[in-house]
Amino acid sequence: MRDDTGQPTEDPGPRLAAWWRDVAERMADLPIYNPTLEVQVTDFRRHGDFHVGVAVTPWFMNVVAVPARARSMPAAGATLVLDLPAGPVEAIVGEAGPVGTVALASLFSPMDMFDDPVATRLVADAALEALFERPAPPEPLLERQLARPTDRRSLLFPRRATEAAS
Amino acid sequence: MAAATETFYEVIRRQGITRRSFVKFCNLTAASLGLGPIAAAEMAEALETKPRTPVIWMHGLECTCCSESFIRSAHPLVKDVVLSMISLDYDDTIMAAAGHQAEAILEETKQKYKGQYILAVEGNPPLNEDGMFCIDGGKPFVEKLKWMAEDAMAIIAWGACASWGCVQAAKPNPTQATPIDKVIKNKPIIKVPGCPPIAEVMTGVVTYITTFGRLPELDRQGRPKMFYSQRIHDKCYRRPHFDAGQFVESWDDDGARKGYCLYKMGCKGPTTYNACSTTRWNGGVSFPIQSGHGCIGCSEEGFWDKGSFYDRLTTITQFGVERNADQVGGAVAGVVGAAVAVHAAATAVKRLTGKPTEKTDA
Repeated sequence: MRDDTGQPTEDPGPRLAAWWRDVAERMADLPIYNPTLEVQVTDFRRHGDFHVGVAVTPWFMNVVAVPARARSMPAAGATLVLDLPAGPVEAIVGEAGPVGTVALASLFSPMDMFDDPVATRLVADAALEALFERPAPPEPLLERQLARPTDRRSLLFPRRATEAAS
Repeated sequence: MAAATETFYEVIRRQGITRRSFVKFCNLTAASLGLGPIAAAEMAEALETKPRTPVIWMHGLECTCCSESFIRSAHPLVKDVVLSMISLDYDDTIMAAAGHQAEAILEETKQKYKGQYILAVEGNPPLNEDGMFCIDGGKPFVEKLKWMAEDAMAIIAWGACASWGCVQAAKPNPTQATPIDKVIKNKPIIKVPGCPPIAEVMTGVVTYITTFGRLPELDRQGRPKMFYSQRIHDKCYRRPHFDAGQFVESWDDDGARKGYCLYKMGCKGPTTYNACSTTRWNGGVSFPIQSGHGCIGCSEEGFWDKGSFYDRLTTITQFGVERNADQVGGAVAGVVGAAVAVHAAATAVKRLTGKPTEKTDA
């Protein structure tokens, strides 16, 4: 991964995954822990000031935004709006161990509708893809007008043409 | 035939409220409903031109916490405005009339505004012993409720009592307290559960119905989607602690002081759909989890019979919450095809990219 100046930056994925694997050991005896799943982190994509990816653990699947460079982050517990291509996503600011301050937005939790790491990986990748997909723009007005069969008279005098037709 | 009534705008102007305050009210209400500036203009126009809608507010078996919540709404003008806007013609707790005079209002509204009034019901009717456990104006409440429902345009079920039954319907339910949708079958009913519901949610629902003359979009359980589509757990400010495996282990321990997640102390946030973690309470000041106590799931059906408030939630289905197929796209279990995965991901992302409540950063 590269920063704004083209210098390579560290991918936060492996560090996050390692940290969540440690956390998973403490979570394993809780009912909301789904033992059929494992910690997985998608590739991260650069968006504005953040590296954005999706993390899967046996107790949640979240969108994770890690600041890509030093920037002031709101206090833990505050809401941060990520303007992703698919639309604004409200994420909650928190600490992620050695990675520091991150913003998290919940996709699924608990994870009892999944029973297979292959499935969670597919969903996580598809979710990241969907977050970076721009919604289809509304059909432009001019194109819509041109799509209608028209003649020169009604193009120049739309109202008169309509009146004549009625 | 429509009865001649002055508009809401005329009423508030008469009360000395400025046009500026009125427009502000419309904008804030539209925003709290998750609607845009066009809706605010529509709302202003409707309130200026349409006759105000009478609301009859009846009380069955209940504790009046819904009324308490409603009249404490922090909405800028609620004290003067919402109460006059909805033309609260009958509410035995806050009206001036009493006795025969009060009963006459019901009769008059029924005749004069046939099919035009809103019936808001707080509490529920007990059906045992022919309804004798709740007598209102000399008649069993259930009879009075059905009688007023006959000519109503729509019915609002306030709170957990009217929506699900609440504590009076908890096992063994000696009075056979029954949610109102089991008694009234032929009218649209909007459920606004919670014990009590959030004031802004209540005023929002009333404003929506009275201005647009129809119910807002409801989920499969009959609740307004705009307020009950988010889970407490998903928007909780303590959620990063849950994700990090940081929990309060006992009351007043170090984790409690640090504001860790309350899941181990019995928080029902993961199974509760309500706006508490976003709209919050007391004008957005706080909500139960913020004051250090887990969510008790008061807006979910039958929450009194789902074990102690302090029992740790074991499965998401334990609390009787149906998995919301239109959110998750069905269980993503077993061998899944890419299409199923893409659908599940797309629905989750769509839920995330809904309109934000307030923007704090870019």
